[in-house]
Amino acid sequence: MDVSGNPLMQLLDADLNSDRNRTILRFLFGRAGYVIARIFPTRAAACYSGLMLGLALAFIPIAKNAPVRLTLLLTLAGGGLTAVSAHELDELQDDIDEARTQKERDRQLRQFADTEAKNKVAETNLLRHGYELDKSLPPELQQAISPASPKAQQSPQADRAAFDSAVTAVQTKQQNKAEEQQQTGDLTSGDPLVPATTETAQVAAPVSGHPPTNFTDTMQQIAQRLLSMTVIGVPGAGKGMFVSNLLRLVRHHHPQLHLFVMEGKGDAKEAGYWQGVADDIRSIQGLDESPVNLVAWINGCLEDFKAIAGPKLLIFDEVTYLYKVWQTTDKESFEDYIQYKIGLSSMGDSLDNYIWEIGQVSNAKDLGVTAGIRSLFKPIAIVSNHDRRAANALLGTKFVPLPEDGKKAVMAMCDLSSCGRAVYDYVNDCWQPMPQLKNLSGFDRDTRSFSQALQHPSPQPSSPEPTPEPLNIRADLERLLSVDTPEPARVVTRFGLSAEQISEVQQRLSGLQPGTISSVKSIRENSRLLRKQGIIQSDLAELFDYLAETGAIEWLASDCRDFKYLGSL
Amino acid sequence: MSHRLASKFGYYSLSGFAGSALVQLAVIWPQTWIAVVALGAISLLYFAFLIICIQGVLRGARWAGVLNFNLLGVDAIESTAIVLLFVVGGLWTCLEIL
Repeated sequence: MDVSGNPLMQLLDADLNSDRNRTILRFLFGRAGYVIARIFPTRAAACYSGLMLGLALAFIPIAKNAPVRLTLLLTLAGGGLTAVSAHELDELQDDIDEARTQKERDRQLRQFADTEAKNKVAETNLLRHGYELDKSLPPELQQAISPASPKAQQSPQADRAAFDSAVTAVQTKQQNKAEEQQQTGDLTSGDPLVPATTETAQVAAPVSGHPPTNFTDTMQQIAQRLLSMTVIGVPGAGKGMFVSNLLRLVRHHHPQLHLFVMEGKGDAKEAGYWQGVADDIRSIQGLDESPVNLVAWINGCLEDFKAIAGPKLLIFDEVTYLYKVWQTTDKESFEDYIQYKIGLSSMGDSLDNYIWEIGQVSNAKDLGVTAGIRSLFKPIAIVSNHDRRAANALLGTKFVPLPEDGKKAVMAMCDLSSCGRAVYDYVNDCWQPMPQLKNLSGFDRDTRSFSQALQHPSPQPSSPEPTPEPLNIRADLERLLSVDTPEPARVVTRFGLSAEQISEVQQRLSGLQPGTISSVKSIRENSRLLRKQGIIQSDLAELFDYLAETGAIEWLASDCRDFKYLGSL
Repeated sequence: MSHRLASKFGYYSLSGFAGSALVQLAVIWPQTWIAVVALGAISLLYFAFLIICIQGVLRGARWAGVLNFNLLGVDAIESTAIVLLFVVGGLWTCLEIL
């Protein structure tokens, strides 16, 4: 190798990759790294070293009477080093403080989430079981909610007996009616679901060894044991028909569940899917609306849904289109919704809160989530032999597993089905031919014709929908037998509450231990009964302040803070 | 004890270095003494103003009521410390070099 005489060129020309040079470099860098790490093991050590060196550079030359020019230079260098070190120390402390604050905030959030979840469960139980106490509540809370004095117990007990007998009567009536329907075979003909034939039940293809079952039974199981799920199907596959039939069963099994429908198609022909079963139907013609209006509509609907207390189910139709518009228009609120979905998938079951998404594609990207988050919602997939290309595309995704024989087996099931459709459900983890379901919309998209029922909208004597009267009776009874006097008789006094309400709250709080008041308040604030009676939080806050001032209750600072925190949410 | 205290100490030292550097510069370039004298005078005026304000506040003088800063608070102590260290740095350098 031709090496130049210049030492610098020699250095540059040196073959750094030679074994000898590599050994030297490893030795040098290894030693240097070791020394640096020993001297400055942490960021703080480096900062303090710089500070001390700066002080030394600035002061020692002066003390040693060094030449003035050298002294000035060293003083300036020392000053600079000190400034940098001091600034870095400041930054270091900022980082430490921020990490500490974040840790504390996380801890508080976890604690708050735990408390909130417990309160929600307690509230739900309180609403569901009337006067019955939630056994998971602490004893002092049970004592606070239950009537305090024996005198006060007499009236509620009498009310309770009347309440129980009334509810029992209604339930017996319902049961008798159901038995009659079963005996006369009315359930078979009037039920929206025509049971699958033996043939179709036999050809179901298990994916992972579960025995195939009648899909009608599966729908009953889904309706009984609610879960958040995603219903995917090719256009015209019958997602709406499936969900609308399923909703009737859900209503039958869960009469108190609040059914909230958001559908972005706005097609009047399909309004029959939801009418008569859903408590709230929000509809919009998604294609005609601007993206901004569409997202505003979605956010408004979701706010209303979140505000509903107690058990609830959101049916979110046409999510493929709506999610796409939402993601591109307002990503922030979409992310919030995804977080809400994740929260519901983990905690919604205990709170009886669910979401059913209905869409056309199952790709996680199109749904705006990762595959992991998509899997939190249980899958239902429907394919039709009317559009084999779309069906094959859906079957090609990992949303649902395929039977051993692959796509052909699914399409064979479609051909065997009386309606030309096959369905995958998470309960049995298998594909089955879909039975003929009752078309509740009145418009047959396969034949593009209106059904007889819609052309002659005469009252149907054998309507499959469970009558909502038992629910109303129960709700009315609960309201009538709740803690306070009926609204018309209420004389509003101070705090916007009647004298009876004030004394009731005071009585219930009198037996309470300090520190537990916030739990009671949370339950009462969120109570549907309380809201129906028009008691707003600010009135309640004023009342609590007043009671604390008069010594009727002891309200700790932590209670006050919790209350404000809860109130601000 | 947090790193914030050491950081403050570093920043205060800087004012001492600044006073010291000014004196050293004046030794090399004598015209700088004008600036040194001017800064010394301003420092004296600052201390005089501070003492008058403190006296006024302690005696409850009416004019002291318009002072909207806390004389005994951290701000006053910090600014006093910075001026003091600047003066001390300069004086010490003067004694050592001259």
